This record gives sequence, C-alpha cells and structure tokens, in this order.
Amino acid sequence: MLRGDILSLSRLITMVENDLVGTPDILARIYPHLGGAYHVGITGPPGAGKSTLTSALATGLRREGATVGIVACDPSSPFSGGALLGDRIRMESLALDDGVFVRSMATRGALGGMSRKAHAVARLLEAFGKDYVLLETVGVGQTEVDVRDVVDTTVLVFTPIVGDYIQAMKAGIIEIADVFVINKMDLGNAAAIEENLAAVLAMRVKRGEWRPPIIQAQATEHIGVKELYGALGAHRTFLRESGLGIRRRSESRKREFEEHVRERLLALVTASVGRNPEYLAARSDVGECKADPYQACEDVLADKSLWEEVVALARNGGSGAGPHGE
Amino acid sequence: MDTTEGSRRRQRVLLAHCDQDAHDRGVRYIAEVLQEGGMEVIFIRYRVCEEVVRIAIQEDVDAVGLSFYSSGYSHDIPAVLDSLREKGKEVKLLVGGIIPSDEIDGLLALGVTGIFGPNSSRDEVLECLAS
Repeated sequence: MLRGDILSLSRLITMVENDLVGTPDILARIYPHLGGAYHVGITGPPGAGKSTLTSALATGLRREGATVGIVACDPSSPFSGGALLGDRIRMESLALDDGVFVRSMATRGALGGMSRKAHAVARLLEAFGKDYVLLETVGVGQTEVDVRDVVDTTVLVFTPIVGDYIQAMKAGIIEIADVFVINKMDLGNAAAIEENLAAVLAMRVKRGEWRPPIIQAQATEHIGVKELYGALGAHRTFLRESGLGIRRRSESRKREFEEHVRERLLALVTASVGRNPEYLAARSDVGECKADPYQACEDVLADKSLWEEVVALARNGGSGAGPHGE
Repeated sequence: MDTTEGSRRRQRVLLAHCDQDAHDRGVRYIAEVLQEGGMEVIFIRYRVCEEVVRIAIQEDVDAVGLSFYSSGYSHDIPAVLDSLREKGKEVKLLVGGIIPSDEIDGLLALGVTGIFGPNSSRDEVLECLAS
C-alpha cells in the first residue's frame, strides 16, 4: 500500500473497517507516515448537498494539482444492518481520476454521524499519500461534534430551506464549524440567513479567534467552490500561525489513545464477564425480577474470581478480535 | 454482551447501470432488497465501463451487479470482466435486466456468476450472493 498499490489500500481499508485481527498493527505501522495530509470534515443535515459540494471541492483541489482522498459516510439501517451508500453517485466526474480515491462507508451503528473507523480510513488515505482527505459525514444534529475531533477544518453545509436551522441550532453546532456554507442558495433567502448567522458569530467570536466565513453556494453549478477553497487555505494558515493546529492535533491524538485503551479494556472485560457463571446467573435473576439490576451489578463486580479471570485473560494476550465478548 | 458498534463483516455490493439507460427501476429494487438483506450497497451510473472497475476496486466490493435494458451488455460485460481480471480484483458479477435467453450461456461461460431477468425472484439474487 505504501508503494502506491490501490488494491492493497482498499483491502487494508476493509480490514480496518471490519476490525479484523491486526488492525492495531496496521494503524501502528502507518503512524510514521502520517502528518502529510490536510483533513477537512464536511457535515450538515441530510439533503444539504454535502456530496455534491465534496465532489466540486475535490475537482477544484485536483485543478491545483493536489491529490484527494474522500471518505463518504451514510447511515446503516438499525433494522437490517445494511446500508445504501449513495454519496458516490454525486461524484461521478471523479470516477476516472487517478488522483482521487473515494470510499463509501456505512456508520454501522456508530452513535456519531460518522463511524470512528472512518477516522482510521482517513488515516490510511493519508499514509497512502493523499494531500487532502475529505471526510463527509451524515449530519444528524448535535452529533456532528464527532467530526471536529478528527479533522483540521470543519465545514458545515446547510440550505436556506432549513433557515430556522440556525435558530434551532444548538450551541454545539455553531461552535464546531470553521466554515459555514449555505448551499442551494437559489432556494431561499440565503442573504438573510447569512446576516443572522454573522450577527450570532460576531457576538461569540472573541478577538484573536478564528471568525468562520459564511459562503453562499450552489454546488451543482460550482458556485462558491472557489470561495470554499480560499476559506480552507485561510483557516489552514490561521491554524499554523496561531499554533492552534498543532495543539488540536495533539489533543486529537491523545483522545485517540484514550479511546483505544478504553475499547481494549472493555473488550477484555466483556470477554471474561460474558462467560462468568455468577454474571450469567445474576442476569437471569434480573430478567425474572428476582433481583434489581443495580444491586446485582455490585454483587457481580464484588466477586474476586471475576477480576482474576480478567487478569488471566489479559496475561494470555487479551480477547483478540473485536469487542464482541463471545 | 452488546457493543456500541457492530463490526461484523458485511457484504459490499456495487450496483451500476449505464447512465444512457433510464431504466433503473429493477436495479433500484435490487438495491433495496440487498440493503434489507444486511448488505452495504453502492449505487452508481457509469459512462464508461472502466468506472465500474475502478469503483469496484476502491470500494473493495464482494460483488458487482450490472443492469442492462439496451444492448450495451455485449460490449460492457466482457470489458468489465477483462479489466477486473487484469487488475487482479476478484468479484462475483451478476447481470440483470433484459438479456436474450440465447446469449445467457455465452455470458456465463465468460465468467458471469448469474443472470437475473425480469422474472427472477429476489431470493434467487440473494442466494447467488450468499453462496
């Protein structure tokens, strides 16, 4: 993969996506090759035109000679577990371009609008050598907060039709966006929305902080894309000159480490607890109303043999593949 | 115990039809069927066959489904099969739509995994993918 083989890249992505044994090794091995890409998150409510905008932005970046990786996330059905990954259909013009790699990903039950594995995939694209990685996420409301943790610039895309979106927007969303794009500007009073939003931002943004630009766009006509490209460049410069870029990346890495440790611990504990007879008996009792969940939990955790099992499992190399606890 | 994120390996399928061909009801129906069957479906229209191959590789799909109404299949199917082979990507290739019955054997001999005309059932398609 590091030598530029597309087939290898795509297979590695599959391995990471499915949490196959060896994923941490893969990520550890590519770590030295990271740091060369600029990550942009593109988020917003469904129907805002994120995919079209992502495609238009990628086209613009290609014209500047940059290579691009795109991760496009769509929701998995909570019932069937399947997914219709339809972002790609808006990116048809990129299909024959060797400089662009697009991967569609299903959220597979991740609580944020983006699976955490999408971040790992973004990392693989970075290690592969892409100059820019665009991470397009399902925008479902306040959960957009996910994206901000793993990218350099977060772009929030919405339309004038959901103008009340601004009013209804909970504080978190306004705060995570580095750039606002009012797409499909022809469908409503984009200027009024821009004015309202600018007023809100003027109150919130302090001196020396980044003032998020508001861009009116019509992605299908490539209107506003040049301005978006300019805004990305300006934000990138700001991050570099203020030192904020380095600090954010450092925080992001620490969070990644914490999350990974937490996940491995959880996997370890669930693997042994799931087999523990006291636990299983307690669970059955709780189900039959013979015990309450809270006291039963305390009793199970107070059992020394359970912890001895956990330690033994850890000593023997852990639970191995995936946090299933089977 | 439950986990917050399912990481079971899921079948990924690429469904495509030529963008000159407006008859996409069948392939859209299949997209729904596959999604309900727990698969991850990537849906595209293509201008040239090479797009199908590149996308199949990038998305690392297990199967490709092509839908034809007009006669483009006689060029597109061999082109896709050859290119996939040349690039080292192994997938099942399913074909749907209007394919004359006297051409079916020839296509299967070329390497098509299954051909599903308008009278085939959703179960036939699902079975073919499961095997």
